[in-house]
Amino acid sequence: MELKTIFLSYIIWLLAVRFLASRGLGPFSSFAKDLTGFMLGKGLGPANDLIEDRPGAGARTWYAHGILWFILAATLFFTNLWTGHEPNALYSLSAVGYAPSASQATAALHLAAAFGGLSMLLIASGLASQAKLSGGRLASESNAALMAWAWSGTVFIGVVIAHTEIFTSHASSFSGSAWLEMPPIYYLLFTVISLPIFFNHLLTMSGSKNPILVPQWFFVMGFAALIWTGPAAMMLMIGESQEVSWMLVKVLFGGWLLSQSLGIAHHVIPSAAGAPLWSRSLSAVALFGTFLTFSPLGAAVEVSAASESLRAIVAISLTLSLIPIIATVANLSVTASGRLSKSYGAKMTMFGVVMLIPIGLGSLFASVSAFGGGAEQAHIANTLDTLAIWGVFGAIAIGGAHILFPQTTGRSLASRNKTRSTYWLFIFGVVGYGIGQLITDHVNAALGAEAVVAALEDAGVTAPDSAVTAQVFASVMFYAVAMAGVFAAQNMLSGSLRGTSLTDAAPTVSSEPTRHIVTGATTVRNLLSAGVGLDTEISMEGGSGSSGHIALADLAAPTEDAGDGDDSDDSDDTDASTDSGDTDDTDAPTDSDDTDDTDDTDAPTDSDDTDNTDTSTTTVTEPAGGFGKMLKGELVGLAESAGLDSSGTKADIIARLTSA
Amino acid sequence: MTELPEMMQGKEEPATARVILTLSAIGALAFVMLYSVLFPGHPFPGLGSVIPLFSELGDSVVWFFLLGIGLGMAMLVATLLGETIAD
Repeated sequence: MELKTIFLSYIIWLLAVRFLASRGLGPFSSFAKDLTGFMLGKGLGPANDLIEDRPGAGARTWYAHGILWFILAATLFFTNLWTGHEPNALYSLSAVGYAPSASQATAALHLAAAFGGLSMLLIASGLASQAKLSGGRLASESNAALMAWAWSGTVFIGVVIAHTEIFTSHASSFSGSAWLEMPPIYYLLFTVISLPIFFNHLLTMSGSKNPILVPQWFFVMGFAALIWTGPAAMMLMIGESQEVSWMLVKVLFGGWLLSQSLGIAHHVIPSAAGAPLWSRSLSAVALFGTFLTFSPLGAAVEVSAASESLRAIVAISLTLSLIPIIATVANLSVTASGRLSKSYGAKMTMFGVVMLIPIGLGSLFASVSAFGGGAEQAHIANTLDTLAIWGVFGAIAIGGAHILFPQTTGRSLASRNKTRSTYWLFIFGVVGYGIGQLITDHVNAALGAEAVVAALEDAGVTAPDSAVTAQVFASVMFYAVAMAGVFAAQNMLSGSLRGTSLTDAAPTVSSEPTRHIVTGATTVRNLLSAGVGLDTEISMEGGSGSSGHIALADLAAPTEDAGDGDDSDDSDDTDASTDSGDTDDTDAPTDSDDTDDTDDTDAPTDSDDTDNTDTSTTTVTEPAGGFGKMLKGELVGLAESAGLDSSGTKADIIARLTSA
Repeated sequence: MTELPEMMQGKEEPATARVILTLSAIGALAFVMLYSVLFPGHPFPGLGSVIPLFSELGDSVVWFFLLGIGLGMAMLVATLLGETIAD
C-alpha cells in the first residue's frame, strides 16, 4: 500500500475521532454512553469484580506495572549496550538457556521500553491526569486496572517470544522495521486492549462538567493513533512495505509516545508552577501539529527508495513537525519560568520537554536522509532514537509519575531525597550516555568509511579500537538511568504505604494570635500575612499617631479620615505587595512531591515569601504560649524591635508588651 | 573572651551530599575503563575473579552492575514484604 493512502486513512481516522468526541453522536449519544459504560463494567462479567472500582485504582495499577517494566527495560538496554563492546559478557547465562542473538535482544528491549515501561507509565499518568481534570475519577477504574494486567501480560508474552525461535523464523521470513520487529498480528493485541482505555477516557470526559483541556485531547487523540497502528500493521501481512513500516514507527513515536508525553507535560508543568499555560494558541498548535505531521523522532527506520515528489512531501512534513515541538517548548518554558525551583518531578518533566529541541533537530536530519536518501546520518540514528525514548519520553514519564502518582494513592512520595537522587541520576545517565555514544558512533563511522579502511589496509595498519572506551563510558553512564528507575520505584512503593496523607499535608489555618502589636503604619495585607485573624486584638504603639486596641473586624467600617495624605508613603508598599512574582509563590507548594519532604530544610520559609514585609513597620506577635515562656534576652529584643523600653525585669518588659 | 575552636565539624547531613556520593561513585566506575588503558591486555577483574562463589559468571565487569540492580530489586521486594507484614 502506498504511503499517501495509508497516511490519508490515518488523518481521516483522527479527524473523525476529534469530530465525534467533540460533537457526540447526536440522538445516539445517550445510548452510546450507557452501552459503553455497561461494556466497561458489568459487561466484563466476573472479571470486573476482580478489582475494586475505587478512585485512583486504574492509574495506580498502571504505575505499578510501568515502573517495573521501566527498570527491566533499562536493564535490558544496559546489557545490550555492554554486549556491544563485550559480546561474551553474559555468556554464562547460556547455562540457564538465556543466549539471545543481537536481533532478539534488540527486539525484546524495544518491546519492553516502548510498549512496557514508557507506554505504561505514560498511560498511568494520562489516566491520573484525566481523572483529576474530570472531577476525581475515571468512568471505570476497575476496567482501567484490569487492562493494565492485560497490557503487561501482552508485553511479557512479546518479550518471551522475542527470545524464541518463533521470532527468529518470523524475522527470517519477513524483515520487520526498527522498533516494530514482532509479527504484525502481535500489535493488533495492543489495539484491542487500547479500545477500552480509549472509551474510558471518552466516557470520563463526557461525564465531566469541566471544559475539556488540551492534555485531555492529547490523551484521547494519542489513543486513537495507537488504535490505528494495529489494523495498519496488518497491511504488512499483505506484502512487505517499507513505507508502511516507516509510517508505523513515526506514529509510534509521534502519534503515540510523543502525544502522551506532551499531554502529561501540559498538565504537570502548569499544575506544579501554579500558573496557567502561557499561550492558548501555542498549545493548540502543539496539539494539531503533533498529529498532522510526521514526527522526526524514530529516525532509525529507513526507506531505501522513494519518488522525488514523495521525498519532498515527507521532508516538508518532517520539517513542519518542528513547529509543534518549538511551540510546546516555548509555551511550557515560559509557563514554568522561575516557578519550578522546588518540584523535582516538574523539573524532570521540563528536562524531557527541553530535550525535544536538540533530539528533534538531530532526528530531523537523520529522518530526511533515511527516507529514500543516502541515510548519511544512519550511524547516529539509533542513538537519537534511544535518546528520544529515555531522554524525552522517559524523563516526562518519570517526572509525571512523581507528580501524579501521589494523587492516585492519596499519599505523598516517601522521600524527597530519593526524588532528588532520581532526578540527578536520570539526567546524569541520559546526558552521559548521549555524549559517550555519539562519540562512539562518529569514531566508528569515521574509521569504518571505505576510504579510511582502504588507506589503513594499504598502510598495513590495524584500525584502533579507541571507540570502545567511549562505549564503555556510555554503558556505565546509562546504568544511572536504570538506578534512577530503582530509586523511583522504591520511592513510589514506600510512599504508597507510608507516605504522608495528602489531606494531612494540606496547609492548615493556624490559630490566630490573641494580640498583635503594631508600631507605625501598616497594611491589612501585612496584618493578614502575620497571621492576624478577625478577633485578634491589635495594639497600636508609638509612631502611629494614635494608640489603643482595635480588632481587624473593626477596620471593615470606613472611617472619616480614610484617604488622608498620610497614606501617600504607602504607595511603594502597595506596588510591592501586588507584584506577580510574590503572589505566584503562594501557588507553588501544592505539588505532591514537595509536600512529602520530611527532611527538607529549606521548604517552610522561602525568602521570596517575606518580600512583602514592610521594613518601615515593626510588628510584634504574642506567641501561643504567651510572653511568659520567652527568655529575657528574647523579650529585650522584642521590646526593642517594637520601640519599647527594654529596661527592667522580665515582668516589667512583659507588662510593657501586654499593656497599651 | 570566647575562643573559637581551631576547626568545627558539622553534624548536618545535607541531602545533596548523598546525591554527590552516588553520582561520583557511578562516575568513578565509568572511569574504570582507564584500567584497560593503563594496563593493556590485562582486563579489570570481574565479579567471578573477586568472589569465587560467582566464578561461573565469568570475568566480565558487567556483573558488578547487574548485582547493583539486583540488590535494588531485592530491596523493593523486601520493602513490599516488610510493609505487608507490618500492616
